[in-house]
Amino acid sequence: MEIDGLIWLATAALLLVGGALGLVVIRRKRLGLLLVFLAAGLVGILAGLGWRTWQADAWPGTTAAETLGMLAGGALAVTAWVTLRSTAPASPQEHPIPVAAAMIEAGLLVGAGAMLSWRESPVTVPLARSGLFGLCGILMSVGLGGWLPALAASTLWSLGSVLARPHAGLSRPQIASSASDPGRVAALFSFPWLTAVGLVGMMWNLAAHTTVVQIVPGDLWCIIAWLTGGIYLHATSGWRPLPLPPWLATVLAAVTAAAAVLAALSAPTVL
Amino acid sequence: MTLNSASPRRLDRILDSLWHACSAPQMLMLLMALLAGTLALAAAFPQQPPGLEGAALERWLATTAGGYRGTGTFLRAIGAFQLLSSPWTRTILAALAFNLALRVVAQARVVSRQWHSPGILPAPPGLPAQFATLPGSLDAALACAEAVLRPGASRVAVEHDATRGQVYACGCRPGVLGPLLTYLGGLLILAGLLVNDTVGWQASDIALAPGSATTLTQPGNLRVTLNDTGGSGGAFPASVTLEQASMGRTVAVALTHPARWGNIWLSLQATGPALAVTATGSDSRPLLLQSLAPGGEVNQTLHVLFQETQGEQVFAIPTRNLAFRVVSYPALPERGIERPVFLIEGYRGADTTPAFSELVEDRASFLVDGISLTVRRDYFVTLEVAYLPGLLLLLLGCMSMLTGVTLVAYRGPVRAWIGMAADREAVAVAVRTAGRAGSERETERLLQALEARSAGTEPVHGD
Repeated sequence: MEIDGLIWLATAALLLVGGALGLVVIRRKRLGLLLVFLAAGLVGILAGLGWRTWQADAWPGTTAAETLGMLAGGALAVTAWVTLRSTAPASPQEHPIPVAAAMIEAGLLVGAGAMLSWRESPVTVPLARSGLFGLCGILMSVGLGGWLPALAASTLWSLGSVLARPHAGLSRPQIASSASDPGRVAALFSFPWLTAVGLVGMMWNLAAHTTVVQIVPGDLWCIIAWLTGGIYLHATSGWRPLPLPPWLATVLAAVTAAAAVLAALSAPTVL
Repeated sequence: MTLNSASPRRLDRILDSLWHACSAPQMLMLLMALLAGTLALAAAFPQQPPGLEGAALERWLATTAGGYRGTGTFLRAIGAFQLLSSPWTRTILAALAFNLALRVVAQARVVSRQWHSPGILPAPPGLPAQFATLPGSLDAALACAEAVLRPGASRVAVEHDATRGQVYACGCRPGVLGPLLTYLGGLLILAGLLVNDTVGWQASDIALAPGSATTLTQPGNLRVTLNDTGGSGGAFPASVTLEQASMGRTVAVALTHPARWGNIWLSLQATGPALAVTATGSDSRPLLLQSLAPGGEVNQTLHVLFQETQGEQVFAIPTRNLAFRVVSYPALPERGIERPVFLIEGYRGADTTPAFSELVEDRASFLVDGISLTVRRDYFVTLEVAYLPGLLLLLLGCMSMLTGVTLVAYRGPVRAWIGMAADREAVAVAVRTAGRAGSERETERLLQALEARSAGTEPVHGD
């Protein structure tokens, strides 16, 4: 295993331990410690990606190991944004449990990336030296990664609305409607980034393959994630609430997160 | 008379119902889900590459179906390898375009109402409300509500009579445009895809050596001539001349740096090694050379191309009954050669023993049976050409959608309605808010602010 794999393995362990602490021990009012774990995880992911970028002399995203790392990095970045935003008064999320759950998701992804990096050495692909490819990767990591904290928050909220006895740290919604889904905060933040992938990706496809969209799994799963993400945002709209059950929003978030992982795994097919 | 007036009313009701059903967000969600499901199937099975037609398409379908053994024929029959060009996908896209067009009109009406209507707009149905009772008079409660809503609001409207009142506030005016721009963007993208699909075309895997040309079979019969490869690796631009209907232009194209001529786009896919060969007889006259690859050219100067999967090529001088086998090696360390090299072997007639064998790194000349053979290392390029007349619509659509989605996500409008009813010495209050996320928390915050302000200002009003 190369240095990047070892870094990611340590990062995955850190995130999983931090996430478990968040779920079991830390509970309320210890968000700062959880954010330290989160920041360390983000640094670890970036270090691994930096090493592979230096080795391949091209932007990351040419192997599934790298795209999984980028997805986990995007998930942590969006989680940090949502958490920092939620410390402001009158914000919908103030419990560390969704943060911890998102960290566990990211830890699992980084762990999978570390395992894949053992088999996938950094690859030098001339097309991956294009700045458009690099920009597309950054946008995609936030645009797709945001669906992991969205899924975590939505699932915990949905469980909270189902359970008769509220679990400590889980906020029980006052109104059981999909419009109250707290996952919407992260999803709404990341959706414009995912939409920007459409524009930048089209320009990159045009430059590299003289087409606007490639009929390959990498592009198709990205479009699927955008479509299901759009459905989720319509289902949880706060402007014009639809009479939909809360679990439907969670299912839509889960489908979008699954499409995001598949898009990351198949991203190298666009090269 | 009664029947005549009833029929148009019934027709109006039917048309209204159809309009609401077709433009409903639920319909949009259903169509998006169907499209996502179709694309998921398309991601699971290999799809027909663009630009393939005729025998090439038939070969591709047969090869792909062959990869699925027993189920291949069935999958091909149901169109699993051509999902994206199937009537099913086209129907979904057409329905989506219709729904988006109706939603654009509906959103334009919403924007117009929100920008121009001076009064209070009705709250959307289904918006959850939170209730409280404030002490004091209706006038005092209305003043409190206005004071609470005023900060951050671009417009506050108050309407009341003796016993009832309503205060309405709206913030972030540009955000109102978000949904309109998003739906308009989607519509433009679909229009761009339609134009590209009906009028546009794509030609791929055009392998050209320097000086060679090809005329595309697509409409317009574009002629592509490679003037210069720009060297190996695609780092330097290759020079290509495009000609169509007595007009032409020479463009430079490199890896990830495409060239454009109007709506025609040209990209460089790959470069590879080639061997340029010429032969002259004992009388110094050039001889015709023939490539033995399928569809191979016959010319006085032959370019033997080594594409990605081709390490070996064959050509012949038919008039002298000579055949040549050329193998491209990236290096031959056992012979002390650390750079790319060609092995050239010549065969007479049906003799399987090589008449001669030579290694060539850059250029060389040989004499074989009185023929002077000159070979030189060269490069070829693989190009892709596409005619994309809908690109402008696609770009406009993407930009409109990105602007709309960004406005909705980061500058989405927040609207609040506070309804009041005087009840003896108190006022019953119902608060509703519509915003980006966490509306119930915003409602709660407003209600608390209203209660706090009401409690603090009550003695003043009482005075």
